Amino acid sequence: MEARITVHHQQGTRQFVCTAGEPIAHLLRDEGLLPLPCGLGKCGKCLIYADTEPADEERTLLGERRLAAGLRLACHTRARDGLEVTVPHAGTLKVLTQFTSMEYVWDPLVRRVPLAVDDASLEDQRSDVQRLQDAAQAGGHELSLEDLTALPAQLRSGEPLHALLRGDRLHGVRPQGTPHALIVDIGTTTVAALLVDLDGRRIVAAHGERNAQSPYGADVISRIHRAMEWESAGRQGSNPLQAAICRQIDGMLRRLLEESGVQDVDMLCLTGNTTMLHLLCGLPGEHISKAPFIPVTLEPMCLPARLLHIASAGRCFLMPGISSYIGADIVASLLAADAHHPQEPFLLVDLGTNAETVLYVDGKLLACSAAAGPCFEGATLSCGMAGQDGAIDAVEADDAQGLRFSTIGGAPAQGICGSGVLDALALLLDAGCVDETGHLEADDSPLGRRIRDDALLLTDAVRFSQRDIREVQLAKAAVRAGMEILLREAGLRYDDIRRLYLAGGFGSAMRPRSAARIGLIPAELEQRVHVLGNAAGFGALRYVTEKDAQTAASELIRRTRYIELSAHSGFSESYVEQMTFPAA
Amino acid sequence: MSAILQEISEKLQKGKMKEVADLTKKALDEGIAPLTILNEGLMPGMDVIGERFKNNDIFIPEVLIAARAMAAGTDVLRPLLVGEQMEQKGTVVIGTIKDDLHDIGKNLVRMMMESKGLNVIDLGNSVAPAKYIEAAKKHKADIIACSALLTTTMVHIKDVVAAVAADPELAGKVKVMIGGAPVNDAFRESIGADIYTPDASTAAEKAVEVCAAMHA
Repeated sequence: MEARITVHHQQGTRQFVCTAGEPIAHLLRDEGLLPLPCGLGKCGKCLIYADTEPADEERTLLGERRLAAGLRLACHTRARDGLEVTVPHAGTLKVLTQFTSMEYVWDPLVRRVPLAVDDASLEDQRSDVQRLQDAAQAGGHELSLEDLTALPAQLRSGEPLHALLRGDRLHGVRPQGTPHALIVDIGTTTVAALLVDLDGRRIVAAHGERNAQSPYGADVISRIHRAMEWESAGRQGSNPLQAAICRQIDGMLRRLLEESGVQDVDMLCLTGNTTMLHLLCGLPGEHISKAPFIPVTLEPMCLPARLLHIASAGRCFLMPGISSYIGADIVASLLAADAHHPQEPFLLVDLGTNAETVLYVDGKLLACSAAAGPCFEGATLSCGMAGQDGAIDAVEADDAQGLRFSTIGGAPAQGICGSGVLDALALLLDAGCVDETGHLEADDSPLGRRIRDDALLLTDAVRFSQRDIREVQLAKAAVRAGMEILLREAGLRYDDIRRLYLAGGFGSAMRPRSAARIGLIPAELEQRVHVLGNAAGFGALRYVTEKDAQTAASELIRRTRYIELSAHSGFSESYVEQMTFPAA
Repeated sequence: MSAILQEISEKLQKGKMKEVADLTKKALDEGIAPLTILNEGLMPGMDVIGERFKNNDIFIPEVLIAARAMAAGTDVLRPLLVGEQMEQKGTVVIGTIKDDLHDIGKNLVRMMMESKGLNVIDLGNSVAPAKYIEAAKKHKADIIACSALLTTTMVHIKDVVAAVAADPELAGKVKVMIGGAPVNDAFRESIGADIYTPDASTAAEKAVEVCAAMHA
C-alpha cells in the first residue's frame, strides 16, 4: 500500500509517496536529506522529529527526555499515510583558516602574463592560437575545444587580456584581473574550501560544509560499498557519490566567488583522502576497501574543472597520495609541516576516523593509518556530536560542583565533542573516578556524586557513560599502537621526537594536557605539541603556490615507507597494551 | 572454592594483570595444583566476562583487558601444566577470511574458546581456503571458524564450505562456523555453513557443545 509522507527540511518542505510500513530512513538518505551513520537502526544518530509511537529500539537508544521532545530515529520510523517528519537543522561548520605561518618561496603553478597580441592582417596570417602563443611566449598550449571556440571573439574584443601559463604551456586566456585559486580539502566528514588571492597572497573567503556524500554512510568503506552497489546495478544514470561531491564543490565555488565578487579562479587544488579522490573522479574504490588495499592511482592529476562538472574555466590539480589509507591530504599536511625541508625528528598525526600518523627522521618517513573510528567526531558516543554550536568543548574541575564546562558559541549544551570528551575523561581519571582499566565508579566527592546509572552527568541530558569510555579506549588504543609501531620500526624513543604536529580540527581543539592524561598522546610529547590548524588546506595551497612544491611532494612520497598495521605482527599486542589508561 | 581462587577470578574480571599474576604465584605457594588454579580460578573469571559481554553488560576493551590478565596468570602456570593431564574438549582452526584483515572479533572468539578449554589454532588474517583445509587436517580439527567484517570479503567463506565438502577426509567430519558483523543466519544458510553465532561468547559455548557431540 502506498503512503504519502511530508518531510520538512531546511531546504523546504517536500512530499513523497512510498510503501506503507517501510522505514523512511533510506528514502531520506537517497534524497540527500539525512545522513545515516549506520543505516541499520543501531547507532541512534538518524534523528528526526515525528509524532509516532516509539519503537523499543528508540526507547533504548534515545531515552525518555529525547522521546518526550519528539525525537525519533529514521531507521525505526515506518511510513504511513499522512506522516509528517521534520529533519533537524544540520548547523554550519567552521573552517579553520588559521595556519602556522611559514615563509616560503612564492611561485604559483599557474601564472598570469599580460597579453599584447598582434592584430591579424593579410601579411600576417598566423592562426589565433599561434599569435596567442607567440605573444605569451608559450611553447605550446593545452586549450580545450571550449577555450578554442571562445578564442576568436576574445582576441578581437579589444578587452585587455591575461594569458594563463603553467611553465611554458598556455593554459587559458582571461580578462585582465587579480588571479585567484580555490583550495578544497575533501574530508570524509567535512569539505572545506578556501578562496585565495594569489597576488595579495591571502585568503579571501572560506566555507565548510558536511560532505554531501554523508547520507551514503559515515565512513569510507560504506561510501565505497554504495558506489559498488550503483556499479553492480548496471551504472544507471550518474554515479550518485561522484555527483554529490562534484555538485557540492561547484556550489561552494559559486558561493565563494559571489561573496567575494570574483569572476572565476585560475586553478583549483583538490586534496583529500584516497577514497574521496577516487569517488570524486568516479574511479572504482572496491580494491581500496579490502586487502591488499590497492587504489587505482595515487599519481597527481590535472583535469579541466568542467570534466568534474565544476563551473570554472580553470584546471583542477589533484594532489598525489602515498597509499590507500595515507592520502593526498596527509601529503598536504606534510608540506604544511615543512617536511620537504630538513627538520628535526617529528611525528605528525591527523586525528579523524582514521588516525594517519607519520614519523619523520633524517629526511625519511614512516607512515601508518590506525582505525580510530568516529568516536572523537562524536558518532559513536551516547551524547557525542561534531564540534558545532552547543557542543561541550571544554570541561574543568570545580571544587563545589565537581566540574564546569563551556560550549561552542556559548549555546545551551546539546552534546559533547572530541575535546570535551578528552577533558571529561582526564578529569575523571585525575579524581580517581575512572581507574586504569577504564572502570567508572561514583564516590562521595562533588564529581563522584554526578556519576549516576553508569554515566557522568554533565547536564541532565548530556551524559558521558561507561560505554562511551570504552569507545574512547578502543580509539586511543588504535592511535597509540600506531605511534608505537612507527617508533619501534625506526628504533626511536618518544624522547627523541622534537615535535608532535597535530593536524585537523580535533587536533587543534584538544588540550594536550588532557590528551596526555588519557594516553592519546605520549606524556613525553605533551610539551612538544604544535598545532598545524588547517594543515591539509595550507599544504594544498603550498602545493600550487610554492616553488617546486610538486617535485618536493613526489620526493616526499618516494621517501615514505607505508606500514600496513593490520598485517604488522606487533600491532595486536600493542593495541591491547594501549587499551588501559596511564597511572596517575 | 578457596578464597584465593575466588580472588583470582575477581581480579581477572577487573583486568588487574599484575594482581592476577601475583595471586597465581601465591596460590601455587599455598600448594594448590596448577590445573585447579586454571579451572577454578582463571577460567571461571573469564566465563563471567564472556557472559557479561554477551549480555552487553561490558564491552570489547574490558574483554581484551581481562584476557590480558588471564594470560598473565596462564603464563605463570604454563611451565607447570606441561605433563599434567589437560582435558581436551576439541580443536578449532580459526582465522579471518581471505582479503579481510579485521581481527579483533576473531581474537575475541579465540580468547573465549581458549578460556573454555578448547585447543585453538589461530591462522591469523586473510586466510585462503586451502590454508584452513591444510590446518584442519594437520591438527585434526573439529571446527573451522571463519570471520569476516566486510560484505566484500564474506563471500569468500563459501569457498571454504565448498573445499570442506569436496575433501573426503574432512567432509561431514569438520563443521564450518561463521561470524562477523555483516554475517547472519540467513547468509549461513545461503552458503551451506554449519554454525552461525552472533557473538564471541555464544561462539565459544556453541563450539564446546558441537565438539562434545562429535566426540560422544
